[in-house]
Amino acid sequence: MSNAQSGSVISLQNVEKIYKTKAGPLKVLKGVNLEIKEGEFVAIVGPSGSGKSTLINMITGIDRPTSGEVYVAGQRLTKLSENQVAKWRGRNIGVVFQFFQLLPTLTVLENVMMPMYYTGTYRGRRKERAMELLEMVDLPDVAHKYPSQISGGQQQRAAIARALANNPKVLVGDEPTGNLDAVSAGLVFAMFEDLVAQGMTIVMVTHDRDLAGQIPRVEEVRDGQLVPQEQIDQRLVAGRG
Amino acid sequence: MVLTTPAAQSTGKSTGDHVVVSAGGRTAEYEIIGVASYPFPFVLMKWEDLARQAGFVLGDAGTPDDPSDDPPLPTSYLVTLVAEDPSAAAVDDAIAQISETLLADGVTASFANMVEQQEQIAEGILVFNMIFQITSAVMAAVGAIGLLTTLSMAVFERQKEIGVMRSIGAGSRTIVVQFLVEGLLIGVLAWLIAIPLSYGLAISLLNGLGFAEFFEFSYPLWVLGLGLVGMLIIATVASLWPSISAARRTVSDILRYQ
Repeated sequence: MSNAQSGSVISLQNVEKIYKTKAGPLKVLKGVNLEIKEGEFVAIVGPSGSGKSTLINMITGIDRPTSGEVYVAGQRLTKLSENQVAKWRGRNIGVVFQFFQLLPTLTVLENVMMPMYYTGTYRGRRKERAMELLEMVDLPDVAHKYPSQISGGQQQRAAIARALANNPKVLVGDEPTGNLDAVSAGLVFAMFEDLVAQGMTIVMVTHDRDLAGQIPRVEEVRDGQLVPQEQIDQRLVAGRG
Repeated sequence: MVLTTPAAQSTGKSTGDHVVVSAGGRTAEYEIIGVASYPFPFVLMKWEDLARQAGFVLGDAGTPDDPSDDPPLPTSYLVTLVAEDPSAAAVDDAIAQISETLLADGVTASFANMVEQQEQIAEGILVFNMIFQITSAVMAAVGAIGLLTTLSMAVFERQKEIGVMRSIGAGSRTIVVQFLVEGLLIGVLAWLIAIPLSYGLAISLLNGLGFAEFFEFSYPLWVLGLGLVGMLIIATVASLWPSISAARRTVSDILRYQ
């Protein structure tokens, strides 16, 4: 069953991931099945080492499954080369990291322009598009500053603007609020809610039980497997159960 | 009389000046009619005048005060072989024949094999040339290794940056080109710095090794062009492996080891 057939924008089918370690094979994902529909806002929670980051790395194509299939935005990722995945990701997925990961030698504006440059989109109006995005995240005043000259919250908003540069179908965040104070985290979360309201699909890993409690759909990863909804650990999600 | 450039420089004379020549107990004044560009310091003049002044004349040697009417006698001969480009061995054979003939008449003479001398000078120059070529090759190799190391370290230190670039859509070619361009820019910078250094070094070596008298210093533009092309080739070769290595890193590998 492909995601086209299932109507999902993200479809993981019996995904297994085994890492080779000195101590022997380490099974991080154990036959994960996950369907996420367009416009859904999904939180991935779970204890450290449970496989959350590996799971979202499967969605972004950053990592490849040992077995199983991954379909995202109509693309079967397991059939693409590393280079093809990078280009596909640049056009279809926005990635937001915990530690922002803006390129330090470029200005905020240049950072936002980079995905367009890499994928060859918005030729002739990249600067204009980047400024529009910076205005959307309320950062037009710091466009020409370097990442080291702005706060963590501003850096994360700039990273979100960069992630949105190519108008992706899916936004994936690996603990995007994990390194922010409560106010900045609230701003970023509000921004995500706005994007979902506009029809974007967002999947984010979070350790923040309060934030997870506000997200419509929560999936818990425990020991490399998705836990049934009724068995989700209530300590990880506030206001449920 | 014509002076060579080193002779004119060492005596402070130029065209139109006069020099006094002493030979055979007589002195005579000659006008300098020109200065020839030549690496060795000597003068050129009509040998007949010098022979007569020195008293090397045929005939009435009893009137040394007025040798002008007597035919001049040379003290040495330049023998040119019929062969267009004779070898040193062929010249040696000719010398042996001439020596044998002269000795038969009771004349002893000393000989100089000009072809052999030319070959020795050429060999000397060739040895220096080879030393400089080898030095240049070693310096180029050291530079290439330095560039390779620098870029390899840059790739290692900037793994996170490569990972971020890949995660926002940078393909392998983009990453290869970025590191290649960086390598080439370092190479061009080194080339620019090397221009004044090589110019100064060439002058210092020419003077320091005592070649300034024999060789005229020149720094032709085509040498700079050749250096630029050579540098671009070396920088490309040295940058290629680190660039490809950077492009082969996957985001997951980078994230795993951060």
